[in-house]
Amino acid sequence: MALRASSKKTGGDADITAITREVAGDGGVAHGKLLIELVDAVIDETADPAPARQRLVAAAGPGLLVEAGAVLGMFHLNDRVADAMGAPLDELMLDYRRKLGEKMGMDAGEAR
Amino acid sequence: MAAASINFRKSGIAVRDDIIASQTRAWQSLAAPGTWWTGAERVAIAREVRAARRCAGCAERKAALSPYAVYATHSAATDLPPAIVDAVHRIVTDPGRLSRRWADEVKADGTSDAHLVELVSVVCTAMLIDGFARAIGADAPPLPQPVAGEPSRRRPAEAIDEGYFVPTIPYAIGSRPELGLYEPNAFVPNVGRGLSLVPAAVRSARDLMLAHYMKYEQVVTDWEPRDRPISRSQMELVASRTSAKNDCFY
Repeated sequence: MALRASSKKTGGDADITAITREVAGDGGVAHGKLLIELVDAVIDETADPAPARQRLVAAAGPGLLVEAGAVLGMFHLNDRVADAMGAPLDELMLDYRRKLGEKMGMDAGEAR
Repeated sequence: MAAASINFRKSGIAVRDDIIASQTRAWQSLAAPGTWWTGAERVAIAREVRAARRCAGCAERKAALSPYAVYATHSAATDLPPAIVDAVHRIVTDPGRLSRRWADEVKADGTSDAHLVELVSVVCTAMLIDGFARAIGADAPPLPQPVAGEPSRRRPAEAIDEGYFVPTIPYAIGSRPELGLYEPNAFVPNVGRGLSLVPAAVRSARDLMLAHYMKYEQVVTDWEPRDRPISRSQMELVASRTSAKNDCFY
């Protein structure tokens, strides 16, 4: 939800399907492909993140690498807190989650 | 004994001071006696987080159609009880398939709901710090030396069943000044209240959130990180992709 909204605000049109595609694409976000490749390489413990890291730094500088790492780290925390504690979906996200699920071919958000 | 600190000088990458400061506070807090676990136990949990990421048994379970289809034999790194080792490894390697059944099984095995909440907090803190280091190409910081002492064992009477796997403190109560748990008059997403059975864990997560992402209340606004070399869209792309790769249900 925030990806779409933040992109529109700055005149962009982020493609939210980029977040679940197997092959990385920009998704309408500057350096998006490089950011996605970095996330994928960091989360896959069998991968070497160095090439993805180097490509991102070469294209956008080390500052973006650090900021991307910070967000990635934070969502390692947030995702696990949500899933391990069974956090219910927030009211304001329910309808959006339903539409997103349809667009991306996921389930309709059944309770576990 | 010197308190644990975190720095990334050897990586040659400049990291914002507030990121370093928040990670250092989290690392020091992790080493200290918590609300339910001792400092030694908390550091052992963090050590187990690192073992889980290379655990063949976890890889086999992750590949199975159901997490209950295989009995994972873990490559444990500590003498924590097997049920605790298993809980840590599952949170690290297969978070998207954690369920109420899983939480109930952990509790049925003798772990209190409050112990479980604090365990999740420690696991998540270690995941954040190690994930950040791996992303920027730095070595993971050495685990801190445990600080001696007893846990405080204070359970908040305000925690109730709100539909999570464990009791939580409602927003209307936790935002009162005397508790100071949530920002008053602000949107706090449900994930921000997930650890509230252990209030110290919420405060630590909030501190990390501010430096690494944004305030909870800014999540549903059009806030832009004007003082950082990243746009909001780029932040949300990284957040979304990370959550997708973590199979995050939420």
